[in-house]
Amino acid sequence: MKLALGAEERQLQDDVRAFLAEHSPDPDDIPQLLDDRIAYLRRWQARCYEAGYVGRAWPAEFGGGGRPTSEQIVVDQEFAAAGAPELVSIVGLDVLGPAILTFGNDEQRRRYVRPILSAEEIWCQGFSEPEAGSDLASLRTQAVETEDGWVLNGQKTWISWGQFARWCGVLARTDADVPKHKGISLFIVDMESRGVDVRPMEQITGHAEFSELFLDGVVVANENVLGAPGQGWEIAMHVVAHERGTAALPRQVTLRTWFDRLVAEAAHANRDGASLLADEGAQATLARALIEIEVLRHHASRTMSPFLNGGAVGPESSGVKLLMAQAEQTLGTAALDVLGEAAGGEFWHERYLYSRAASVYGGTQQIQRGIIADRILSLPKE
Amino acid sequence: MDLQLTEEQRWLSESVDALIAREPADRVWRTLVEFGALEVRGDEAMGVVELALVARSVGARLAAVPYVDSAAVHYVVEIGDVSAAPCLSEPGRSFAPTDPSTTLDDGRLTGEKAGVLYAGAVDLLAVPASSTDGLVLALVPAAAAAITAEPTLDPSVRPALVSFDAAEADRVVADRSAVESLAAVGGVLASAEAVGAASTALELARDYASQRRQFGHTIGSFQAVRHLLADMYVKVESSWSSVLYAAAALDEEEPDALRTASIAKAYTARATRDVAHGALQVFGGIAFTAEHPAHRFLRRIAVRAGQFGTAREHERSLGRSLAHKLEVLT
Repeated sequence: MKLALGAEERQLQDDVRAFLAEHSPDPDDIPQLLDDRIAYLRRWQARCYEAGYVGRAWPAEFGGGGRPTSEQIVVDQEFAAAGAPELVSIVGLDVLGPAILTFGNDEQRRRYVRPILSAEEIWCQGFSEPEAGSDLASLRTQAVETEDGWVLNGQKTWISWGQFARWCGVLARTDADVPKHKGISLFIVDMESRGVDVRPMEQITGHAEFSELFLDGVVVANENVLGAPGQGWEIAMHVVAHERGTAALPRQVTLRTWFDRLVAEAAHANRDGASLLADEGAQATLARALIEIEVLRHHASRTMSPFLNGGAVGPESSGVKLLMAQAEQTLGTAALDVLGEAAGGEFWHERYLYSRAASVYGGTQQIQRGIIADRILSLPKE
Repeated sequence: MDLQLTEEQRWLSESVDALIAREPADRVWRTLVEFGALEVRGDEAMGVVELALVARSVGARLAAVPYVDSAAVHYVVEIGDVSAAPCLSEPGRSFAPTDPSTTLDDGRLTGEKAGVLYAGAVDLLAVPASSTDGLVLALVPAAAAAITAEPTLDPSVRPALVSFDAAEADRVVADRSAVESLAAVGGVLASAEAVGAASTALELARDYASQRRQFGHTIGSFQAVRHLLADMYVKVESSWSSVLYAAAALDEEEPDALRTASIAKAYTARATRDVAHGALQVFGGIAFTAEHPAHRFLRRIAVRAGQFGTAREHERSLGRSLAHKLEVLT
């Protein structure tokens, strides 16, 4: 048991801070228009990759840094603390890249991994469907094997960055005669293929990071099946469980930077001639929000310790996900309660609205509780 | 950073658990001392993490021993093999161990302390007091205090009001950090005991939900019950993470260790109480009978939650410190 970072990690922390101090752009310099913004963020990620801060723990032979996982977490936390711009190939970095590394063959690793790291190619994930949300295994998108390869037909939704993606990891049913979890395969779909149609959707935050994806007779070559046919569900669940845990450590740092901003804004805002922060009720609301963020840090640090030190993380990551969503939602609500709905302004409106997605994306709170009930508490099935 | 227990720590935890399970109630305390569960100095010294592991086992089996209390005192002052209890709260006042109204004058202690667990069972009392040297920690034989039992949810831990009327102190430690450390370590260990109690309550409730049948089904197959138990699980585990993190922060002398301890105490007090409430709910009517064990976990959790500052008191001081930092309050 050791909280303190090692000497190498502390050195890395200093290096990352120096890099960010020199290169991290002012948020106002990032273009607002979505197309320009994405182009800008691709250049930003490419620069971070060159500096060795993207895919630091991925295998060196496929373009990664070949360093311990704990170093990538140090980097991610420093990026979050500095409020550095997001990495635009986030879906590739968090979900499909790890899936290719773990379940793909060497040819696939050589072809796809490096462009994910450099943001040369953006990935999206085609998992959810209009009729298959929480019940993902009941998905209806079909893949039929033909002489030319697999032919895919169906509709996908909640595709983050779909309109900018070159590749999509699509879950499709390849065998209707086996139990529903067993008949699903994961395909690497070229978004430039004939029959691919992407339609952006506006979110409640006003942004259009999401799209719908329509697949109409899209042909996918045999070599673009990831893992074995029928292994798609296993791969998807593995990478999603993994992402739930790894996302939490940088996320708690981001929440903490937002919390500090909220406290500063409350200190400077006046009501009835006194600072909002002088109010005991406001102090208590803020203290409870801080406690949730700190406990998220404690719990994510402990739960992810086996992974950071070379092991694996299982269903315990569902508990981290529950706390992460709750901390984010408590903070979003606290901002409105303390500052007032109008006084909060756009920044807090967006945080508040976005926080409502935290208990839905990556598996709802109810799905996480079900995973814990089944796989940790071994309760009888519903 | 690595928050996994080491081999030795796992061994310690399992050994202590087996020992408490094996010994008759009246021998648990002596066996723990002989085992070395209070050794916080020397080559084989236990840190706060190790003390917390023992405290968790004490809570898991609801052992009625002044372990948390003695270990916290041992951690800050060398007192030999005796049992001890920190006296940090004062009647009618918010939790403020570094601002006592109790006074030490010419080596003699005068004042009242409330909610002292095992006051009548321990050898020594550790009492913060104001003196001409500033804040001190006075060590007074329990025999020198007037001890009056207080009403309590958990009679097994025998909380009392202790009064000192010019009681002679054995020793005086003129060190503010000793008092701060006593409060922080005590709070972390009390939390660890509560987590132990909560984890057993969860285990019992889980087992019951896996057997009990209603409406033709095992109740653990009903989503409302499954989700309640899942939330209880997350509360036990996250509380334990917070306790271990705070314990490690104290051991490694992290700059924000005292604040982390305060956060762990506040969070654990509420979370473990929720777990006990959840357990009673899963058991239903049967848990309302005195012979059923569930209420004893609830009682222990409630009493440890009230010690070393309540959740509300820690939240309030955390909130005030935010305002102080930004100079809204001075």
